[in-house]
Amino acid sequence: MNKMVETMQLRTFTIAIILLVLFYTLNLVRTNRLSAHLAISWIIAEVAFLILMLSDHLWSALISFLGEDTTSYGAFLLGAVWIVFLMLDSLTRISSLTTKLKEVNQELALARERLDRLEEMNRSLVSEPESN
Amino acid sequence: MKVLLIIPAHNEAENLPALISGIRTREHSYDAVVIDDASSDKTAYVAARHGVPVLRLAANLGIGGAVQTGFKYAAFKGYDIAVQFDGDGQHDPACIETIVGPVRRGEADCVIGSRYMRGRSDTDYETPLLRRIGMYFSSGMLFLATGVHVTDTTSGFRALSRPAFEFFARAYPVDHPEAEALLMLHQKKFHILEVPVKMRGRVRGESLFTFTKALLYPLRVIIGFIGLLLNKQV
Repeated sequence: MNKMVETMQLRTFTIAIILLVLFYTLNLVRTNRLSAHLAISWIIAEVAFLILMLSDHLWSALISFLGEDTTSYGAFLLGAVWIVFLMLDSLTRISSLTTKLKEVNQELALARERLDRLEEMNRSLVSEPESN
Repeated sequence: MKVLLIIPAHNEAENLPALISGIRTREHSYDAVVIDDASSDKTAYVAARHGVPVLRLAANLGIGGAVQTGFKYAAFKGYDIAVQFDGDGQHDPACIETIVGPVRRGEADCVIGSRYMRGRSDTDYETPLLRRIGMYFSSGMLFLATGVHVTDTTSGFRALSRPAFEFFARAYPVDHPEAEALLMLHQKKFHILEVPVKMRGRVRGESLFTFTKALLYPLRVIIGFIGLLLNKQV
């Protein structure tokens, strides 16, 4: 009986935490602080965890998979591994964007220099007829 | 052969006038370009006032990103040789021809100006202990990875042939890129050569190679090398 109460408490606590994180993620997207495109994998993960916690069938399957005595530790470990994958996915996106930003920055510098040179040529062309 | 000096500069407004006049008073006249790495001082203004083209980076990219911008410029402008030349006044303009010569003669694709060549080391140059340890470490790593012995892996005073700098215009490491760049050149079968040069201490301003960066340098080298050895696309 005690075990069941403990499990229920754990599920309720986890559901509350996931809901909190999910609302926070959605709020970040809503206020334009996080791109929906970048947040999609996190939102999918949070919803998947929520479904897992709410569904009795899935929860039972998880318990039988992890073992009754180590369910909480096992669930925590699975969650941690999943978060590591999500973080790696985010790092991949950051790396890709950093490379793109570097290239844009470099091209901008090269274009600026060409523009400066053209403006200089233009100025000298304009001033030449005046001096003649 | 057209030679371009690539001068990466971050807050080097005080050092640039002497450096530019040093380049111009020598018997060989070199074209130069200053890469202003988002300086907060008047680096770009000072360089432009001295008649040197300036590539102004809108955001700070660090030495690797700045130098790569110079390689892109050199490739676009049709230069035959590109020389990396620090904006802090450490490199002696009198030694430019020493490192350009072997590239000009087709003896190497990358010539490194070294302070530590055995029997011909620059005894006047004082290297801080942490930097020296970092350099021995990266030299050892490079030797393990390639079998090539380079005495001054951290030297930023280098001359590159057109094929070599065109390669770097496409791919170049970002942070503390010197040792990784040598590994990349070796992987692409470019010929690397070292020649002894004299270097001076930084004239004015502060080095960006801080204590923390020096401590992390070996780790960066290891990770950078592993990345390059695993990456088949470079």
